[in-house]
Amino acid sequence: MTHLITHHDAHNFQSELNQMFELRKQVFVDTYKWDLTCTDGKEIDQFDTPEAYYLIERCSENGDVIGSVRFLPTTTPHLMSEIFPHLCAHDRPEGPDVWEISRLFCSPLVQDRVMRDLVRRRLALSMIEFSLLFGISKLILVTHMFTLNQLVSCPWDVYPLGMPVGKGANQIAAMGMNITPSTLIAMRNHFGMHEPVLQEYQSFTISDAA
Amino acid sequence: MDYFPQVSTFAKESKRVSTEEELISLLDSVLPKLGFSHYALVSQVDLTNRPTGAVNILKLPEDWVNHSRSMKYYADDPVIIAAQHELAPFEWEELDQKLDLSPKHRRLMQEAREFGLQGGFTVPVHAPGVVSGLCSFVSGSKGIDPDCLPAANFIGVYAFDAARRIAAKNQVLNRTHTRLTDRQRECLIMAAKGKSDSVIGCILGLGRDTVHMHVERAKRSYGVSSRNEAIVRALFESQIAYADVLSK
Repeated sequence: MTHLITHHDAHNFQSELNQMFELRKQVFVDTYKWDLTCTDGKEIDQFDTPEAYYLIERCSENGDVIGSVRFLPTTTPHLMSEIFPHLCAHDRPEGPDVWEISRLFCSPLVQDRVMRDLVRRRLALSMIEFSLLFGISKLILVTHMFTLNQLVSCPWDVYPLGMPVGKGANQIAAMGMNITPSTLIAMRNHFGMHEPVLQEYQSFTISDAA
Repeated sequence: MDYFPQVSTFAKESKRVSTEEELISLLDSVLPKLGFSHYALVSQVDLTNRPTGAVNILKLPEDWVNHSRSMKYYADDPVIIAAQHELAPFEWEELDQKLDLSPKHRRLMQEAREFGLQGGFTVPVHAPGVVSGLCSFVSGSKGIDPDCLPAANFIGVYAFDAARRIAAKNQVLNRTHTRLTDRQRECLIMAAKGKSDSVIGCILGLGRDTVHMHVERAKRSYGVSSRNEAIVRALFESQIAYADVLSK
């Protein structure tokens, strides 16, 4: 099950959000060894504000959070403006229709490779569905050069915003991604998954996006 | 030197190319600007008996290609071996940090140098569930401009992705790739499920020797010497599907 959590309904999803922050620590700090601060076993940074939106993937059997990605508007402070401005060769993309994605992960508790692929595919599709619903025409992100290949091999329009910076395992680059309705069609065909992924919850309706 | 314009152009154009010729033309127009005169985009498969759908785009000195083929160098090429387990791109000069280079490896690299193949940079390409590959760029004796390596990394990833996409498309369109007969397919699927020739014969209403003949013919079509290899080839070329093999 994939759904969106915004500040409107965060109070209804406190347990899911806590799970997400705990998993973020396990993935990004414990496993990837990123230099991030943690408190109480959770990884929360200065961008986890009411402006942040979270797409959450939950296990259909027990509702546990098994994946997530964070959306930040570029009209307020975000990773690319505050921490990585040097990664963009030209003007940084920003505006009400440009959002930044970060902290995308699949839970380490999901060990089956097919299941992990499925979680990532559902997150990718729901990211595009959400973007189209919200009038987001461009996504920006910072990627490790190691995973560039997986990003590029999908049929979305992803392109470099600047040259990579750093050495070896820490080499990162800023990327942009243009989102159009044909992106969704191409990605659904690529994955062989033709049903909508993002579910509507009572507290979030399409009219909230307007 | 700012290589971003080349990276940006290459990323955009590589998504548009739909044939090997177009990709080669794009590589030929961009790579010299980074100081590279030769390149190789290759899937990590047995190149002497390459399955269709594998990537094999080479712009290397022809006498080197003939020489290495006649010497059967693929098995000993330390660049290919290193690319199998390295995640990060590497310069050929760093090979002895990546691999314990044997005298055979060193001899190969020395001979390659004599053919002008030095100053190389290789981008390994790995993704779960997909055959690995590599993209090598060669600058020759003048050496590599270290500033261009990040650009080469980007271009290597986009180039290999385009090559793979084109090879997969050609695999579908290409009528001359290995076509199994229906009986060969059926027998291979059963063999993949672990059934013996006699059991396959019972299921399909054929004699055991007939089943054996079908499997042998499939092996010969793929140019392989074991039925396991024939099964793997058939899966790689989508002549049989995992669904066929894994179903009841």
